[in-house]
Amino acid sequence: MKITNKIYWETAKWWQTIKLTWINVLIYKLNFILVVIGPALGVYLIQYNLWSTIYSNYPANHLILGFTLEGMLSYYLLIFFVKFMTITINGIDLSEEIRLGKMSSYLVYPFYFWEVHIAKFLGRISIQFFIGTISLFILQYFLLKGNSVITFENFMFALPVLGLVAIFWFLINFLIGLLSLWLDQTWTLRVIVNIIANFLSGGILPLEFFPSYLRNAITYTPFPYLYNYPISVLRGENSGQLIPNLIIIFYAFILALLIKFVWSRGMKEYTASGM
Amino acid sequence: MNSVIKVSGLNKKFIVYKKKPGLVGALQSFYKREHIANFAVKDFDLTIPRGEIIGLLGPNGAGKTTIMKMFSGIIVPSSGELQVLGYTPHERKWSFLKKIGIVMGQKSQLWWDLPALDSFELLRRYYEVEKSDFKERLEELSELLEVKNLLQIHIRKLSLGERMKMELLASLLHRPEILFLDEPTIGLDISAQKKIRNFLLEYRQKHQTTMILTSHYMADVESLCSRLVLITKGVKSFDDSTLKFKKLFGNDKVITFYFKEIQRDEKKLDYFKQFNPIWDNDNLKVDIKVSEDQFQATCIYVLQNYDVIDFETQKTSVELVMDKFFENHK
Repeated sequence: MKITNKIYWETAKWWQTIKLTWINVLIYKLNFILVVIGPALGVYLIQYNLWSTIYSNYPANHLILGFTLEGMLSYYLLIFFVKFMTITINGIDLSEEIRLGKMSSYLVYPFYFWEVHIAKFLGRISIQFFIGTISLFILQYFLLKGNSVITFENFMFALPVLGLVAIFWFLINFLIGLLSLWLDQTWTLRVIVNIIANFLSGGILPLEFFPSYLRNAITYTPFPYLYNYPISVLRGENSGQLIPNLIIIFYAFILALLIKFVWSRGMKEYTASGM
Repeated sequence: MNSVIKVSGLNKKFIVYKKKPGLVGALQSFYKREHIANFAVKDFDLTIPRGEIIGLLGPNGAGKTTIMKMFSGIIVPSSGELQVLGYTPHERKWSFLKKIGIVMGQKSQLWWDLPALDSFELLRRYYEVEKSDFKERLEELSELLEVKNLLQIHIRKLSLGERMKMELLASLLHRPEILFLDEPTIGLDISAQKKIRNFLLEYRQKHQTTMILTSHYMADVESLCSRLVLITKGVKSFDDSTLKFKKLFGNDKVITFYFKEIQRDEKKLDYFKQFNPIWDNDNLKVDIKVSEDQFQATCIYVLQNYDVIDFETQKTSVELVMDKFFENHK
């Protein structure tokens, strides 16, 4: 009875936090579109125009490092989709909460601080999942003339991988956010990490464009598995591999340990300024 | 005595980094950062019995809020013993957190963009309050605070006073044994302050909740707190009843006399000089400070010998005593 009661309340806490996050996000629809959809869509449209112009100098079906124009455009559409399914602004929220002392309110709740943040993250990512899927179908219809980028089967195969990548991004953003316990500003650090991760994971150029020594050097880092690998699974090229998943799990585990360490040290430093 | 808070030798040290002004200072701070260790709270002892309302007072930066943060487990003490309801607050055990409530006058715990009721529903889950208890408490508190018709309005659309009432409601839904109030009336107009004070008194009478209050408004302290703890530069400098505090600088009273005509007669004016009088510009009103022993005789004398149309008396306020106290402790 006691355990059932505990499970009931724990579920209720998570569910209510997720629900309020949904309501909160949907109140500012325009803001959500501008902050989340806008930049990702903007980048995709730039890539679309850039590669369309490059390929226009070549005959139809010309290959650049194994990519046709259609293949290239669908690659970037999938980048847009993967970003949407895995990255939220949770780290920015956390930095603000620490810097302005808002974190104090959460510290006195009988619901762990990290649980509140994971629940909020789940709230946001589930909305992004919904909007991302719809956007993917709309974009592939209008920009890729209805050519299907992914099949339902590949989409289902990719879901666990996307889940792992989302956990990785959540943890890295949470860790950077926690550094606000010492640093006044963490956004520069976040931007640097994002640029490096984007570049080395194939977010700017497909990894096929990289020299082989660089590709070999990053094999055991988490980077190739943030965009390149999930995209290959979505395209049905790489499903069912164990090693990439284990590598992401390994780095997520390391990040979780780091967070635990930083949290226990940081709480001794927390001054709850502004309260 | 059933004490809910026991503190002994509590210290909190903050490291503050120094930076020389200008660009050179900014560059120097990259490789050499000087710091100073400040004691925000030093050797602090305190015992608070159940059901008491206690006021923590002190000038800005005295350490009152730091003490409050340590009591509620938000920050970790540097050293010393601290037990709240038998728990070590900074361990933040859920069973402890369910027994305390905190209201921060300058910080909101409610979701800014949502109606208060949404936040209350969330808190109901966080504090594991049964639906029936929640309904009953919400009914009681919203009625006492007169906010029943505001529960479904977005927090950001409420006035400061209404928002503070919602904060109070939120912090009491789980019926805490101790309520920490950090400047709960800050920025409110006099009528709103009064309503909050009346509510707190009524609530405390009904539920015997222990309340720890910090405030800059002496009216809060005078009407709510039976006991005062004064803190200067992190050190406790007074800990006793509010009554004793007021008597700290004697039992003086301030009497204000209003005269029918302008007082010009030098001889008549001379009489007041012994009481350090403060005259208004027209010499139609005077404030004098008299001791309790002189009070009756002075009133009779003035009423018999001057054309007095009205007069009023005032006890020495905590505010006045406080000013004197902190002046002496500089």
